[in-house]
Amino acid sequence: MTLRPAKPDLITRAAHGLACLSLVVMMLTVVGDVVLRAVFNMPLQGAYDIVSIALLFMTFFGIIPVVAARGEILIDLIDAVLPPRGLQGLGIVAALTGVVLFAFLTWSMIQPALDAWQWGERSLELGIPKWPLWLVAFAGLIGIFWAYVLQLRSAFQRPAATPDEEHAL
Amino acid sequence: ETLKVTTFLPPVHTFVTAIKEWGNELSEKSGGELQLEVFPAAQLGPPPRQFDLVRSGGADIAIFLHALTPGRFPMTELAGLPLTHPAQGDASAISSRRLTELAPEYLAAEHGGTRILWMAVTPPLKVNLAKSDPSNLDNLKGLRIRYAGSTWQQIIEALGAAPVPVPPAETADAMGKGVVDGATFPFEATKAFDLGPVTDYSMEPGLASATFAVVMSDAAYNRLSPELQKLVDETTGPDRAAWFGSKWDAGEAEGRAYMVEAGVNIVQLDDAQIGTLREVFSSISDAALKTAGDAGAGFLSAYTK
Amino acid sequence: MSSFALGLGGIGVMLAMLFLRQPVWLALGVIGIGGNWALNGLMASKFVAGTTMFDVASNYNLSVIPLFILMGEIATGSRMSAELFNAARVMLSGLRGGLGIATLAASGAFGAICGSSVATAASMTRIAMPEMGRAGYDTGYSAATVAAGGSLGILIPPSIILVIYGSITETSVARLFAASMLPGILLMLLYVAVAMIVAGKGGAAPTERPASLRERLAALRKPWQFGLLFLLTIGGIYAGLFSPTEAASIGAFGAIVLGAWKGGLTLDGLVQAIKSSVAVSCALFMIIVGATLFSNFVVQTRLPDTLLGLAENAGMSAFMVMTLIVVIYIVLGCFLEGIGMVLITVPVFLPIVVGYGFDPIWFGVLVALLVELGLITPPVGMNLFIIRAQVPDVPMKALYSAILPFLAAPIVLIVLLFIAPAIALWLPNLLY
Ligand code: NA
Ligand code: NA
Repeated sequence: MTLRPAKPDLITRAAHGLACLSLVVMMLTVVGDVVLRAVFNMPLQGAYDIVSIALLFMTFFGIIPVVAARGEILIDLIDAVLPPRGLQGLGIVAALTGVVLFAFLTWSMIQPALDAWQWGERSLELGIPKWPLWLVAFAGLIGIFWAYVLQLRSAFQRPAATPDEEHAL
Repeated sequence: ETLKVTTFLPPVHTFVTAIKEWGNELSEKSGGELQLEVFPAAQLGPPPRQFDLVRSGGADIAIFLHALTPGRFPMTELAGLPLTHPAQGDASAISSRRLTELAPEYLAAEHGGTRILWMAVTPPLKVNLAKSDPSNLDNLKGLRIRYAGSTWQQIIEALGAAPVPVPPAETADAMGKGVVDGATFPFEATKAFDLGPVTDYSMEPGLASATFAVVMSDAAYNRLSPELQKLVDETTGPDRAAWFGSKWDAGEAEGRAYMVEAGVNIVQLDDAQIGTLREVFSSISDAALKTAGDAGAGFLSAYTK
Repeated sequence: MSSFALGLGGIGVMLAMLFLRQPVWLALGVIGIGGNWALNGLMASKFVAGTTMFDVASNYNLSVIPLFILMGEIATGSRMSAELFNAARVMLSGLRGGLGIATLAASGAFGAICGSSVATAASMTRIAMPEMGRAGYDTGYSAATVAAGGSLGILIPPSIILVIYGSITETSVARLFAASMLPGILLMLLYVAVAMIVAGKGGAAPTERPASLRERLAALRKPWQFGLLFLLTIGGIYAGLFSPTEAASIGAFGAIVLGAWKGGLTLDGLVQAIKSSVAVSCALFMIIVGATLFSNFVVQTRLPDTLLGLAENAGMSAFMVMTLIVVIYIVLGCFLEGIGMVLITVPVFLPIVVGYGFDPIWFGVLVALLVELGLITPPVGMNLFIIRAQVPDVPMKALYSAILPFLAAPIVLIVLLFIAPAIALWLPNLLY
């Protein structure tokens, strides 16, 4: 799958890079665990926790480039019928709905984050406190809002393109 | 009035069928006015969120396992400490009743926002081993043993073995292929997951139990008419806990018979060995007591009386 | 309003949003949150909304998705997939529609190392569509073989859908994988039969010059890396070296090592593969978040139970109820995405199915097969969209009509599974 030709902004690229790094960490942790266990009979303590945490980083930061590039999966049956103007309108509606939904999600996440802090929730294997992970999630959410600003700008500038490979995936 | 029951347990679990039985009783005694609607298999939310789901109003009643949210229920976790059970015995009917009796005084605070309908303590989990004979406890050293929950992690480490998390359904394969050398399960589960053919030895007594609670949100309770509230009160509590515990005990006995049938050698530890283990485990209990706070010691002595 | 009506209304609005070009995850998420709000009030809806994204994003079991996708990306970017396709092409030359059959065979082999249909279809589109265009194949026919072949990714193990089914039902994923192996191969053969019949009806596919035996043997040697990767991932699971979840990491790492060693994988190619794996899997994760919110709502409206209850009240036999369950899946599959469909239906249907004496492993295979069918049924078929996205000059209408004959294959296999459950159960019973 190819990336968009236009170079994204710094924040989007940094977020994408961090997400990629997390994916690599995930893979190497499991490979290391399996090899240590098979060869030295010595499992890697906390592999389960590390993979879960890396996945959290990957998701919250990896959504940023997807939203910024208008890459959410959608169904384009209507493209054949609607004039570009109409398509542009639908793109703006989608971006605005996305902003509203993420605002609701962010507001909703405050309470569980506070709970994790107040009740001293810990991870299953290593017993790491969970509240710092919620901070990671909120950092990702800030980036996602930034990505929506970019998406809105793009939606106002031009009608939604016929989705290319990345767009539709 | 229909009350939504949420649990992460699969639809075929003893607990789910027992809850449905209680639901039928409620419906019968209320002339159909009170019904339970059960959502099993974490349909309404993931396993660690079951309690909060009820507190938020997403469901009215939850059946949940305390060990899934480490740190959240420090007092209740004391009942899951190694070799800890009422002096009368470690059967689920006894320990579930005792824990339910103590709940209003000691456990209500950490179950805030809900009413504890009853507590359920599993029959203690046994150490089941593929090849190693536990009559000499030194044989456990260096083994890889499947576990779940942080108390068991500490128990296995204290035994000199390495704890390995394996999903229940994968355990039989893992033991058969030597990925792990043993697994901690009650006999009911060794039967459900067919561990007999891959197990040579099981160790008795079981070392530690897991605790469940059945809770109803205050909001749902307050919504009920006084008659229905009375019905809920009358059909829950210590007697119900013992009723449910004896179902678990029956399942445990069945599971044990299955293991014997499968040719598993069930090794009984003697008093001296149990004494040694108590010493080995004492640091785990000390740490847990410290986390639980001032009332912890009082609760523990009332529970083990 | 009854919750049943609320459920139907919610699905209606969701479909309207999908048709009006709203991202799939948004349509699912908005209706899921709104519906939950209507049923349980703001507090409950807020709790679910506030925890779902965090829980999905830190769910260890879902780590297989980006890693299986990465494995597919590497295989595509480093000639491995192209060599596989080429070998199939040469072996099947001389048959009418040989390239279409080659696409199906290569998809099946690709599915054997990749757990995601999306990834399988995406990479086969890139490799097979241009080849078939050059050889004068009808575009609709080409696209239909890629869409059908891509769906094999979740029936031939490893499979993301079966990993999720295993975690809901507490059945062994290794057993599920063993059970879906034969049905997966059988489905590939059924697709091949359809492709040959369609090609034989004229126009869609030209005949190619048959290759000599020597050429065939030479081509067969090429995709050995693929064989090695297959042995590594599937062999490792059955040997108990690692779990099916861990196999995704091992497979991705193995693909990188093989690609760098023999497949011409460059550092830049690796970076691009990782970047697009992240983008694709995050787009999928957004749908999973939306689908989780949506299924949380739909499950409370008791839609499937109500339909089933109506059937049971009408005194239907076990066989008729099972037929109805299959029909419900097929209808849902026309509108829903696979993972959401599994989350909504499996906990409801499993006790009924087990109650009738069916094996939960067998039912898992049936569910995977029905999800697969859903990937290629109009109007909402993920595989169709993937092709449309990569080859925008295929009209959606042409795609819809070309895929229709291929729908017969999974339906025939469903009937076979009912007649002979051993197709699914023989291998796991042998292995475990
Ligand atoms: Na596959
Ligand atoms: Na479909």
